[in-house]
Amino acid sequence: MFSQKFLQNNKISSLKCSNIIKRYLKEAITLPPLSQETKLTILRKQKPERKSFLRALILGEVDSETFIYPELASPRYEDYCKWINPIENYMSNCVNKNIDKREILDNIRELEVFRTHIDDKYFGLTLSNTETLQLVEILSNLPWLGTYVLKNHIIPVEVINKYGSESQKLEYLPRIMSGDIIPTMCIYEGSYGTNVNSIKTLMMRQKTDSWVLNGEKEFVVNGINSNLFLVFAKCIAPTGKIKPDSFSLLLVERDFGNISCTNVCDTIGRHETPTCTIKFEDTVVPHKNIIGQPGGALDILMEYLKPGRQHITGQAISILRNFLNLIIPEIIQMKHFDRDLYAFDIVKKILGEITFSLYTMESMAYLTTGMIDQYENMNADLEQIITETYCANKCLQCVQAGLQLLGAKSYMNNKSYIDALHDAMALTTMDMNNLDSITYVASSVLQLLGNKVTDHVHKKRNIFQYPIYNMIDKMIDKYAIKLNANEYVHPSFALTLNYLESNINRFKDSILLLFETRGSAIMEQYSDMLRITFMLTEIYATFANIIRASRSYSIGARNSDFEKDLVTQMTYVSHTKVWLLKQEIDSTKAFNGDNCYISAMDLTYGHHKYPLAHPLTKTF
Amino acid sequence: MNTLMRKIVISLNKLPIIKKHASIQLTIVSNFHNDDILHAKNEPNVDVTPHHFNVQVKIKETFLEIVRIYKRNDSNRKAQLEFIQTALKYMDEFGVHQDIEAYKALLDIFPRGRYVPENRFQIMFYHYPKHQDTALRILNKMEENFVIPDYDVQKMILEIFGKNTLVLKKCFSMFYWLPKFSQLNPWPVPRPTPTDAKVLAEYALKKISSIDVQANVTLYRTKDVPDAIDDTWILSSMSKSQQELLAVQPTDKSLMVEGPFSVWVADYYLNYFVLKGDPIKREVIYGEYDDVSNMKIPFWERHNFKIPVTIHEQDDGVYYAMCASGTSSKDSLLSWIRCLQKTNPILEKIPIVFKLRSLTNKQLSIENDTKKQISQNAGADTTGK
Repeated sequence: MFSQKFLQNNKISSLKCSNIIKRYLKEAITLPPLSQETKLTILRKQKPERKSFLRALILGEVDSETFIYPELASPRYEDYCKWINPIENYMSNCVNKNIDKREILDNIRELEVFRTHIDDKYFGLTLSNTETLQLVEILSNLPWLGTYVLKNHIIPVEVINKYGSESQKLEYLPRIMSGDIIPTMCIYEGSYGTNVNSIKTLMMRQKTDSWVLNGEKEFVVNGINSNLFLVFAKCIAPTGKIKPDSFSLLLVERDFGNISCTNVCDTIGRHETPTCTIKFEDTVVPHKNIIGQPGGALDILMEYLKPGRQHITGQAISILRNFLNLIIPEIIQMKHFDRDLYAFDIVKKILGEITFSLYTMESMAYLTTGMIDQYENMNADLEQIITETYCANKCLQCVQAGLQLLGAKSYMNNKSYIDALHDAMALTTMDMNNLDSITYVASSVLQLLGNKVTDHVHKKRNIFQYPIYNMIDKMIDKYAIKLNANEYVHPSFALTLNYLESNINRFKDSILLLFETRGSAIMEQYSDMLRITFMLTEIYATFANIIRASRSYSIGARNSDFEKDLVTQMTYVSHTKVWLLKQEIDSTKAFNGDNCYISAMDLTYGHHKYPLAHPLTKTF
Repeated sequence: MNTLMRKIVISLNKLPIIKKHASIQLTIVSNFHNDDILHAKNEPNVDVTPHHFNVQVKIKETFLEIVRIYKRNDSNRKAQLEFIQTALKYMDEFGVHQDIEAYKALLDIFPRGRYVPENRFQIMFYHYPKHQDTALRILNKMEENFVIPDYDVQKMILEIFGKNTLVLKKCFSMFYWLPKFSQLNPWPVPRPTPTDAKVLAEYALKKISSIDVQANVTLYRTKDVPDAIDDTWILSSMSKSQQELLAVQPTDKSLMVEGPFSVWVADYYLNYFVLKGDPIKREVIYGEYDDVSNMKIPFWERHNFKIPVTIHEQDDGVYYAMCASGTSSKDSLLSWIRCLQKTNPILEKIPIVFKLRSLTNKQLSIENDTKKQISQNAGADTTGK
């Protein structure tokens, strides 16, 4: 029945497999001359607005649609494949060859990569989120190229598309397409981080139609080569006062003058897209280059600073996949004492973990983007952040574990291993901030559930006013969640669904307990929020894996029976992990070590260094 | 055991034979009080120095040499107790009062094995009381100066007095407690204590400002400041949060420089001054923790553009900076404000009132009479506006 259901809208040729085969064949390709611009079929009409899957899961409001793994629709899919295949072939040709940066950029411009994200109206290609993800994944075969396209094309163009006026779009988008203009974002000042109060770039009205911009922006990606800066600045009112929340977003061209690139930072990786400091001294910006209203860009800033918008999932997947492909032939040839290294079960376990992480990363990433594409105005920020954080962190962890397997070889001057580590590090340090993601995910979940259980929490916290309610509550779990989802997935996954359900219930119990003990002060308890985020990540990863495996098993994809077993067993593993996390929350901070760590750090901060005595110290 | 001895001595003193001879009674009483009451034993009489210690160069080497010469000359140890007690008095003068080697040399004067009690009655009757008392006095002096005994000291005491004595008991109790106390100070000062006032002032400021981990102690020189009269140093402590607080200070209200206040660093006493303003009026918002609906996501939905509450806001005012200067003069404080203006331009606009309790133009002294400054400052009046 499931096979039937999937076969009915069967437009799936196994995309993954064909890609992999092509990559290994390394067929010689010749670039076809592009006589005319490609036009893709317009995207499928989106379904009406609904709750995002993860929100539905934790609220227990699931339906049949929640358990369908999204896929691309025909005939758009065929058009898209025709468009993306040359890019993929070209990229697989470029890997491990010393090709000039400019040449690669010119070639991918010919392949129309820089037309993406620009609306059809302005002669671009509107790519859906899923297609963007795959594009980034393919381009990230050269990690710097992925960063370049993200930071100098996709992210700034998205901002202009979303907030820019018609005339601004008409002026800049065609020039971005032709390569005249390379845009970049200028946000951070002083210290890297999301400190809004530290922005000290000021704009003052000069004449009625122009403004003067002064300030210095740090950590500008590829600032040397860019010539359009999207600058956040504070407005000075005519009275000379500065309102703390009056931000404006300006489109500053390099030709406006008085812009200097002062300091090119020495980074450990990403040398092709150098990070620099851009200084504006009395730069005159015309009024028409202000995006939105002057002083009204706080929302844009906050939207940009929100985690989950950096599109780094594709990069992470690509880096890890290439790394795995790189080390496996090495490991097969390596010897440990008198045995083959690959035959050790511990080696298999570590590599297996990397493989499974990659599988999970893929399932989460494509589920998230597919979900956003399918429904109108989908608010999937939770899923985006969880996916992004999981991918970036797992990528780094797995690369580290892999390097340890290779041993001394990885420390030798073989650049490809260390480059993988540097690229993975850049994801978690330059592109995203773990602390921000954790805070955002946990607090939005708390916000969501807080609204639902506010009465209950009030009664639980005032036990003497509501004794009977509390007595009954001890006996009945009124917020117990039943998924009843057995009919939505393949019957082989019935057991895994039970585990998933139990995970969600444990998660919900923990949150209720936190509400009871801390009330709304829970928003200040970041270490508990960290645990909430971990639990939620486990839940979402399990969910994504289950529905992906269920789909593969139903349509009979290659190795799908193995996928089924893998997911079933790993669901049980994550079930244990969630249980451990719940134990930690239950044991409160007096017993889970939080208090101890906090006081240790108070001591260390007081000394400004490691405060404890050396084990060989003598007092007399 | 000591109380038993005391009772015996007191009852002896009341005997009619002894009462007849006042001189004997006086001797007993003065011995009984361990010379504590009849004259201060810690202050050596400067006018008359015993011949042993009447030397030109008073350093550790000479002290050890004196002890060595004594041991050579008095091979019968007839006057050993007197010598040791005199030596204890002169230790501070020779600067060896914190040196364990000097104490070991003194203990080494006692002959080995002779005072070890051999039966339980000897133990009971406080064998060689005078000798034990003298050894205890050495240990007491060590305790006063926080000198921790080492295993050599323990071994020596075992050899001299044996294991069932008060001396060893005292030594053990010092072994237990002194190492525990030695690392308790959260603001340790190296030993021997530095004598440079600038270094001491740095320790003092770090100690006072340790409440804020961001605190920054900066050294200024008054010769860099135009119009400064004094040529001295200024150590100033100001943290990032204090700078932020100062930056939003209204320019129509004046700030005050108050002081001098006192702070102790090891044995020394220093003055410091504070830059203070009126307390900031804040609206106290009491959170309703039972209501978990409509919670705001921190950072993104709940912005805080206001200056956060810090430890520097106290009930009596907001403390913006602290300083200690070489002269503690009004002029140096003026230079201090000028130095602060470089990093805090707003200070140029804010009027500053100097509210000093007394103006000391003397160099910060670190001699013995530093302690007397307390009494001087206590009676000082409020001057200088």
